[in-house]
Amino acid sequence: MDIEQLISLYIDGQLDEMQIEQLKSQLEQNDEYKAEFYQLLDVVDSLKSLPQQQLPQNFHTEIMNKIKDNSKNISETKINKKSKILNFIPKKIIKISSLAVAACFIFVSIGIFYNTILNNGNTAQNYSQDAMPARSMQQMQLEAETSASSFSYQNENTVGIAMDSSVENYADQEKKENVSDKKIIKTAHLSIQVYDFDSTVENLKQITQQYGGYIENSSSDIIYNDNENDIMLKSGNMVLRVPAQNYNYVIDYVSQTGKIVGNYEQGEDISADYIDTESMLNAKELEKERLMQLIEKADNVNDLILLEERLSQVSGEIDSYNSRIKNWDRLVQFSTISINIEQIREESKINAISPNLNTRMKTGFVSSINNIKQLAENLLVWTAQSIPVIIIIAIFCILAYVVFLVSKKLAGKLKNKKL
Amino acid sequence: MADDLENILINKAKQGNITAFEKLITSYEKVVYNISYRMFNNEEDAKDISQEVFIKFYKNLDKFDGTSKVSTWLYRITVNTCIDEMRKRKGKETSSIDEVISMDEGDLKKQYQNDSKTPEEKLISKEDIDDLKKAIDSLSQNHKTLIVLRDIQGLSYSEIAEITDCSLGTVKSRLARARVQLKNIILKQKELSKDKNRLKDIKGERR
Repeated sequence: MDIEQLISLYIDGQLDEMQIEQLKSQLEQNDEYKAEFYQLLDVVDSLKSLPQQQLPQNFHTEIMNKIKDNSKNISETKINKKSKILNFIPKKIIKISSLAVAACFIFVSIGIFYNTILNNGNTAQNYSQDAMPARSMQQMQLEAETSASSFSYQNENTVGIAMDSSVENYADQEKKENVSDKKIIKTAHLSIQVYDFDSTVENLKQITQQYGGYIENSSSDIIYNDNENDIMLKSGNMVLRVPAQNYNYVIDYVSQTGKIVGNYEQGEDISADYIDTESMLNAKELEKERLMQLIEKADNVNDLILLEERLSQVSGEIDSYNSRIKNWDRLVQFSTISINIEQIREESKINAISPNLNTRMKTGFVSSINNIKQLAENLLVWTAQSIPVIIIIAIFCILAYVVFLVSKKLAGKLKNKKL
Repeated sequence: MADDLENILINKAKQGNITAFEKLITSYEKVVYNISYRMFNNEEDAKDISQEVFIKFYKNLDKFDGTSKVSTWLYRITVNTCIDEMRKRKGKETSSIDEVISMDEGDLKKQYQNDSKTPEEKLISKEDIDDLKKAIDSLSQNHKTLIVLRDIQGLSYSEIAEITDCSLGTVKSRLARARVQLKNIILKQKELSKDKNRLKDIKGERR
């Protein structure tokens, strides 16, 4: 570090004691350094004593005005950008297309209007043959016969459905509300196949801890040993206990660690039993209190013996109910996931060409050709279907354009007359 | 300003609340103005620059992610705006003390000799404040920035490092060089004024 930097850092109080000593000795040895030191101190002192400039008048107001203008400009430019896009399209096209859209809208709404009228008529009368030539007479008769009855039936049905659905909704809501109160013991049994047994077990241990659970039981055996080829396969069983809220995460994780070959999940609802046991416990506790009171009042030794016998019986029952409740709490809070892990030999990376490759290729080719054919057919059908609509839209567009031209000419003539 | 309050104001301002923005900038206006003033050494430029700074701040509010302090971010914009403006003006103006100073009697090349002063002799007296301002003004951009931020505004080394986008080491060494440069400029000014006085004396004697 050169002397100038030392001095500079000294001024800012950034030197440690050793560096200060170093600076001191250098200053004492060299007068030029000393002069430099005092000059620099002087410069910094005077810089520090420079007065802070006061803000000019209206400084704040001017800034805020500019910022307000700016925020307006930002929103305006956004609008301008939109209008620029609109400007890009010729005005004529916009006018014509808007007329065409309006015409289409009218056309469609007229169509819908007629359709509903016709449908309504259908419930009371037969269609006239001219109006719907495509429908067969037989079909119409059938419709006429069933229309009156089916109408009322449908009505009832829909009401029924509506009522059902409302009841279901209500039940759903109730379910949702009660699910959190319910005491459900979740248990899962999974069987997985893995290539690397040890690392899977290790990962499972870690993930269980991570989700706040613990390993209740873990065991492993060697199921195949081939010393010559250095192959050793293991199989094992693990029982994990994880907090109920993390049950799904752990299950997901286990499913991803290997190939699932067996899966069994159970959610045992013990709410009813739990509530029963709780009320039994309360009753027994009341009985215990009563017995205690009686014991205090008892004069007779025989009564006392009897009462105490009953008391010890009740206390035993209370203990057993308590332990049952505690056990349930534990089971509900911590779900059990039992995993059967089986190690399998890693499959060779390159598989032999399957003997039916040729057939598969053929089938694939044929099915793809069929798909293309189907697509082309569908496209043709769709085009044929939409031709009438396109023609009608085109007629309306042309009409709209003609109306637009005529009105423009008329406007021009009027202007000329005025002039 | 408490950081929490500042965060609330920033979030509101980001949603387009101008009152929140106004509250946010009020406490920084003076420092921003003073940095700009010392960088340009005149009120007009300082006003224009600081207004530009706050507009830039407003426009770029949504880019502020809260990793640095509002003050640091704002001063960074100030310094960058000043430097950009200086670069634009470079070539248009030439009034540097390192070059040639025009005098009544013609041009005179500056000669600087480092007289070793006695410690008692003050380098800058109170009357020399204008000279000091001129000296600051003639510093190079980087040096001026460091002098303004550290010695005039009293910001910490780490804040300066963040504002100027340099390492702490660079800030330390550059600041040392800046102070030496400033000191040398002041010494040059002193020499020049002495020369000037001498010339005046000679002129008087001739008459």
